[in-house]
Amino acid sequence: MIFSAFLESIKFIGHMLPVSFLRIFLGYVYFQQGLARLENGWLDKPILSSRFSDALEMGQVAPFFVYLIEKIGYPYWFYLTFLLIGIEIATGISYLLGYVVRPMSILIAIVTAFQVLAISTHDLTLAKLLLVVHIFLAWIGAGRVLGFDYYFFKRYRGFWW
Amino acid sequence: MKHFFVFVGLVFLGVAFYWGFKSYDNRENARPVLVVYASSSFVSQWGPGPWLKTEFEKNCDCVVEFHEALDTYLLIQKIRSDLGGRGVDLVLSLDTLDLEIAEKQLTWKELQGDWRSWDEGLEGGKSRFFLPYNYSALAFVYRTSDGISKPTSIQDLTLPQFKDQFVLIDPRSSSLGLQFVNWVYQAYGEDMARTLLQQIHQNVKLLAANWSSAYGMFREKQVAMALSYITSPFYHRIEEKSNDIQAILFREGHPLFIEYLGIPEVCENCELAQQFITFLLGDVGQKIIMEKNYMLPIRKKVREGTVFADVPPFHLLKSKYPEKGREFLLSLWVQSRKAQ
Repeated sequence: MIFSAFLESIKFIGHMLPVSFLRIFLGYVYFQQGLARLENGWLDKPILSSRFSDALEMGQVAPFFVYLIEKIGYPYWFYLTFLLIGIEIATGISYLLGYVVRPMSILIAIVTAFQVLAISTHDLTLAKLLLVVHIFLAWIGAGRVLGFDYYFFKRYRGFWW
Repeated sequence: MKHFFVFVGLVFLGVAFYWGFKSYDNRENARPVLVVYASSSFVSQWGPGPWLKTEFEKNCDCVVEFHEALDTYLLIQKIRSDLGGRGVDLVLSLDTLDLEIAEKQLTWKELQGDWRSWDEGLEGGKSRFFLPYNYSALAFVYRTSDGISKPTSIQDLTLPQFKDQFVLIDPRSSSLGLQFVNWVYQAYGEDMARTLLQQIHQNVKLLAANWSSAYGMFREKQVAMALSYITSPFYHRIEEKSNDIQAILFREGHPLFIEYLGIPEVCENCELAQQFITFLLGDVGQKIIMEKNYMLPIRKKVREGTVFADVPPFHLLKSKYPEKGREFLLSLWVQSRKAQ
């Protein structure tokens, strides 16, 4: 039933099919990125802290975020890294399968917004673009085409599918 | 929303489980890591690095980790910028002209070498902190099939017939390039060297950033001659079964290009680095270096019975480090370019 709904989504919302291409590609990128961080020892060494330091050195961080980085970022780097990796891998799987895409897009959009404001000064343009893409995917409900969200949407309706 | 929270929870659980398992596995299999810095040509898949790693790891119960830099000068800068040099156990690919700057910018452990059993000519570069592990002589190479007349001296490079025929290497970005400037300086002295370099600049077709680029241009036949090593033709002889590429012998003589190794004072696995040096200077290590780096081993015995025994007899230019230092050579180059 759930798998037939997966294919049925193409029939009914077929005009949105290209969106699934974007979603699946982003899913692959996030999944791979999360796993790479896990493999490269982000949970063993304070690599995230050094990224914070880079951002602070470049002097482009808003004063409020400087405070947050000093009070939370440095002392709790492990928990923040764990959160970041978990969210990236969850986003990857969610986007790849088209499952719980809407809430996941909102969550990763919040993470990306933090990156724009506090960390990712090197790839600022890319981070901003990704932020827009996540909002777009959340808005459109991108899991409903070529994804399992279509099944739940048919069954439960509601804002989150 | 229940779906979402369960899904995210499961993913986090998976991440935690995976990390826990990985940490446990790492602790179980923890082996000391020997961090070695070397030039990119040394650590590349075609260079001796991977072969040395495999052979050494067979007996050491350790992991050899190679880190690369584009050129020796950049290598020193990279080590300095890498958390103050922490975690660097061994540095390779230092040449004669690098030793001064290496000694000034980093502190090194003293090394004992069996200098008497090594080739003649190496003694000139004797140092308390660095040991040689391979060498060659600077030379221009050319293709015999091109049928061009070849120069017989550095002075010949200034002749009109060699205009746009050769590639040089920028001494500002490459140690080998700086060695060429030193070659001209040692052979002719300051004033004559300045004049010659000015004239050579007018004839040079391309100025490459490093040896790889220069040799690549030569191989792609963009130029007829390139600054390289007297042992470079052995690569073509062994890998391509071709004798087409030959080294040109100059009457001024050829300076030796010696590569050294050293252990920084800040090493973490210093004992292991010492073991690696013993292996590198032993028969197996020297043979790998000779066959993969296409340079001469420091002990003659290793090259006996191989093609490397056929190095053309060349006049050795006993070059010494210029008293005025590296900066002097660079200024000689820059001034000669400006005067062009």
